Amino acid sequence: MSPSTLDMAPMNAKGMNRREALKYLGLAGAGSLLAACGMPLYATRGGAGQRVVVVGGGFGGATAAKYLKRLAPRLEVVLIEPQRRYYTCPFTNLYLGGLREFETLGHGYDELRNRYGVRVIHDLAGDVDSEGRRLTLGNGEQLSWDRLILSPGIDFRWGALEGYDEAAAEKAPHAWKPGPQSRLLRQQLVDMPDGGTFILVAPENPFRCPPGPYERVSMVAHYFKQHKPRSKILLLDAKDNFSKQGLFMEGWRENYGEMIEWVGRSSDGKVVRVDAENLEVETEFGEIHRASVLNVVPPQQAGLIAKRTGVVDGTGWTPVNPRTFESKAVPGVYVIGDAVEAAPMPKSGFVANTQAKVTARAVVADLAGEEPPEPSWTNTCYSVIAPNWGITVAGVYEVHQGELREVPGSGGVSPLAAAPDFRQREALYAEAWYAAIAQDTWGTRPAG
Amino acid sequence: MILISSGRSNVRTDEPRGLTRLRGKALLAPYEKKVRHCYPRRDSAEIREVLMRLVVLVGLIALGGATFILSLRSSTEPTQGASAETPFEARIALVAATCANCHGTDGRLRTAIPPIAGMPESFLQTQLLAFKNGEVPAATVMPRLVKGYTDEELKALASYFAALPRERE
Repeated sequence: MSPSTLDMAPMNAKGMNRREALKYLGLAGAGSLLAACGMPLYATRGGAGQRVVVVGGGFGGATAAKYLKRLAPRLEVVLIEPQRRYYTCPFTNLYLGGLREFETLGHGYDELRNRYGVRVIHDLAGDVDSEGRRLTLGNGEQLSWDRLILSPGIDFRWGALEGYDEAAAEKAPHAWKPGPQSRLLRQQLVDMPDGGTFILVAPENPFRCPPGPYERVSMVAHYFKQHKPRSKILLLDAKDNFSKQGLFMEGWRENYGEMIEWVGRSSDGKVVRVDAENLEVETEFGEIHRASVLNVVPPQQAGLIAKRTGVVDGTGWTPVNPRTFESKAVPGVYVIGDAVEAAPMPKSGFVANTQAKVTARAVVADLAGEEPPEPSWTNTCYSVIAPNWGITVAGVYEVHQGELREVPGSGGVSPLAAAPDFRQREALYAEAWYAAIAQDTWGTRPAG
Repeated sequence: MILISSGRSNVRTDEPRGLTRLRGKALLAPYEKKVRHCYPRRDSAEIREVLMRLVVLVGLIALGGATFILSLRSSTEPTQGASAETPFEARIALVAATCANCHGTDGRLRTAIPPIAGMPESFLQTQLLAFKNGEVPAATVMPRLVKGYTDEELKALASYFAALPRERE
C-alpha cells in the first residue's frame, strides 16, 4: 500500500461516506502513478505514514513543527512540550525593567494545532529508547518516531558553582528560565530599598543568550534610575570579554553614568562560591561581595532529554553534523537550539528558529531519500539598554569545508557613537522583532 | 490494482505501518472478494461491471493526476511540494524562511519592520542591493545581514517575495 494512496483517499472523500469513497479507488492510485512517473518523492508522498517527534516547544521546537508541516503537510508531526503556555527568555529583561507585563512573554500552541495539524502533547518526554526509536511520555504512552528532533534548551549544572543549587536559587534567583524565577527576581528588585546593591554573577562561555546578563543589568539600571536612583549594580564576570561589550559600556555610561560596574575575570570578577543565605559571593582571589539582591546565572548544559537520548558529549552539549544538525552519536536524532554545539552561532532564540528551518528541510529531504539544500542560518540579537536605546549583533552562517562559520564580510554589531535616532530605531525594531518571531514561531498575533 | 498495493519498505514506526496494513486491507477488500468470486463464473454482467469500473478508474486517475499537478502549481504556500524545486530554489526558500524572524511568516507581518510579501520585485531587488552596497543611510541591521548572500541570491529573494500574495489566502 503506497502512502500516497492513504492520504489521497481520505482527501478526496470529502462529502462522500467512507464506503462510497472506497469504491473510487482510482483516485487513490493517482499519486502512486505520478510517483512511478518520476515525480519528486516528497511532493507526492508528503511524508504520509511517517512520524517526526519534536521534543521542546520553544523557539527551536515549535518552529521545527510548523515548518515540517509547511514542507510536508501529510507528515505526522508530534510536538511534546510540558507547558501549555510557553514563556520566552528573550524580553524577560524588559519585564524585569518594568517595560513589559510578564504575560506578554507567553505563547500558546493553537496555531500549530489548528492551522498546521501538529499533534501537541503537553507532557514530559521521559525514557528514550534511541535504538528502538521510541520514547515514553510522563503518562506512560509510548511514541515511536521515524525521525526525532530535540530542542530541549538548557539545564543548569547545579552545584558546579559551589553553594549554588536549586534551594539557593530560591534566595538568589537565576531567572534564566522564565517563570516563577523571573517573578521572584522582579519582586526582590521592587522590595529592595533605595541605595541597595544588585549583584549579577555571569558565567563562562558557552551559555544561553550571550548578551543576556548585560542587557539584564541595563534593564535593572533603568528601573533603579526611575525608582531607586542611589542604588548600585555590580556585574561579576567569569570572562574578560563579552558580547557587544563596547556598545554596552557606551550605553551604560550614556544612560546610567556610574551606576553599573563591570568586573572582568582578570580584575577578580570570577565568582567561585555563593552563600545564598547571606546573599554573599566569593571571588577567585577571596574577595567577598554582599548584595541586597543577588542574581546568579549558573553554568549550563544541554537539557536532560538530550543526555537520555545519548547525544551529549563530555562538554555537556551535543555535537552534530553541521549541514543537517543530525546527532553525530545517534542517527535519526537531530538537535537544535541552545542544547547544540554550533559555535560560532550563539545560543539565541533567533538562531534556534533558523536552525529549526534548516533541520526541518533536512529531515523532510532525508525521509524522501533526497539531498537537503545548502544550508544558511542567520542571527540577530537585539539588546535593549534603555527604552530608546537598542543595539544589535547580527550574523549569517554557512558550512565551509565541513565546518560552521560566519559568512566572511557579513554580520557584526551596531556602530559605536551612532546618532540617537539610530539607537532609537534599533529599540523600536527590537519590539518589532519580538512580535515577528513570536508570530513566526507560535503564531501569536501582535496585540493592538 | 497491483500498482497501488505495492509496498513501501522504509516505514519504520509500528503504528503507521499497522495503520497502513489496516487501511490497505479495507481498501482492497472489495476487489479481492470480487476477483475471487468472479473468476470461476465470469458472467457477462460481471465482466461489464469490471470493465465499467476500469473505465471510471482510468478517468479518475487522469482527473486526480491533473488536479494534483494543478494543485501543486497553484499552491499559495510556496514551501509545499518543495522538492519540485531546483537545489538553488530550495536554498532560496530556506534563506527566505529566515527573513520571517523579523518580517513574520512569509514576510507578511506589519510592524515597525515593513512586510515584504507581494512588494514589487524591482523595489525589493533595488533595496536589497542598496543595503549590500551601503547606499541606505537609515539602515540598521539589514546591510550586515545581506552581505551574507550573493547578488544572485538577493535577486532571487526579491523575486521570491514579490511572487507571494500580500495577505494570507
